Amino acid sequence: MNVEHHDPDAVTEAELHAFVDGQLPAPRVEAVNEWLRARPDAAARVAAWQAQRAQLRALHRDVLDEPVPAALRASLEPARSRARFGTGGAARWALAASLLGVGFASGWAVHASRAAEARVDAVATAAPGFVREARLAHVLYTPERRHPVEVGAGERAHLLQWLSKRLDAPLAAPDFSALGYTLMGGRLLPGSNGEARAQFMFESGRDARVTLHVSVLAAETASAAANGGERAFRFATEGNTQTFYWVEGRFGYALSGEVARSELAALADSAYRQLALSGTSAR
Amino acid sequence: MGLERALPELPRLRRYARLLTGSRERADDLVQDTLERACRKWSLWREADPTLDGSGLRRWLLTMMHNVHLNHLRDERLPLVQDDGDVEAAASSLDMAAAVGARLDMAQALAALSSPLRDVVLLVCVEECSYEEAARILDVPVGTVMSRLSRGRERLRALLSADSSNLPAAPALRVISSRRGAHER
Repeated sequence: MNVEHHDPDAVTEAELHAFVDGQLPAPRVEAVNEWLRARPDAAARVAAWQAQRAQLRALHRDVLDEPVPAALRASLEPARSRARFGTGGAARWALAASLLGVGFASGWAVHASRAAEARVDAVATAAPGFVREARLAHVLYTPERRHPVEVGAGERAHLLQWLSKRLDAPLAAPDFSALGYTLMGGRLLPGSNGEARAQFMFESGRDARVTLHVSVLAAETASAAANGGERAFRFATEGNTQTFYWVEGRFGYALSGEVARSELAALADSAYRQLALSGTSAR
Repeated sequence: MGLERALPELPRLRRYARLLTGSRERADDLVQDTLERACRKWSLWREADPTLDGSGLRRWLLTMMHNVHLNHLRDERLPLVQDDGDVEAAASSLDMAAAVGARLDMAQALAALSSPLRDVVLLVCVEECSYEEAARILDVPVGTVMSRLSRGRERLRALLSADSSNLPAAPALRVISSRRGAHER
């Protein structure tokens, strides 16, 4: 490889690695592509590195889907870490039973001691992966003016059919019209491991937007969640965005918005009832 | 708030440990020791980095895992490669197999890498660390990360090719560390 140091177009070894690792600044990508086209040897080497990368990422992927041994989970139990949250386990502490419970707990936390607030925090930060995905997608797409959804509510049947097919599970979109929100539409999203996720977006007459994010969880995740009491509503907040989430059967739902907590709670309750009633079957 | 928020990271940590150690049993031992250490250090980290974002937590746990792994290797008196100059000298039995032309699969080839090269390759390829993050996790300069990455990849390429004994030594590609901007995004 003849790299001339003074040549501004010269492609360095470091840039070739950055090219393979997706760490090359966008303006350089085409330059590297072009450089490689003229150099079959270097191109072959880069292709081999790319293949290695893919193979490495595929190696032991099965471990990701294995149940985590109880002994490992136990080493993170609050009793063994610095913070103590009592015998019930931090995540199960409160906010569990119902929306009433949530209202009570959160209202209480405002007035209660710092320790109690820390407990609410602990619940919030123990949110499972699908909740993080939901929040990221919410924050990314709700400010969108021109393309907030991929398929609009005008094609509701098609939207549900499409997303159900891609998630390989029958999906339904709740009807929030009684609460002043209308369905705008939805989109297909990638989960953190490339799974298909669905997002439905709703808008109120006041331009407030909320999203319902639907995940089909791995059986292990869903049953762990059920054992952990996640059948109930949980609440998480980060910045201005608040999220109610719950697990029902194989589905993980997360409803996010920047609206008042009580309003979001009413929406979550409505969604929960409708989706539970529908047996999460498409309508 | 407690370290239970690391629960969602456990599957990834377990896979990473598996790649690092090459064995199921050693991997879970490594995760266990890492978590215990993490529990002890948790309050320190919270103070150092109050932003607490998920990827920050993962990087922190990876840093800890690398340190624990290093301790394990020391305890077992496995050949430790500290210095880059020793890297090529640390040949394993798999390395020998490769030398006589046996074709290795990726798991074997990975195991045949010396630990410093393997660490960098895994952090960059599997955990998708930026080169700067990998440097911080391993506590080495970015230039060292780049040169280890380069040698790791060329070593893997040689090990994975059908007849590696006939391959000429990979040409020593120049890592231009003076142009730091090139890989520092």
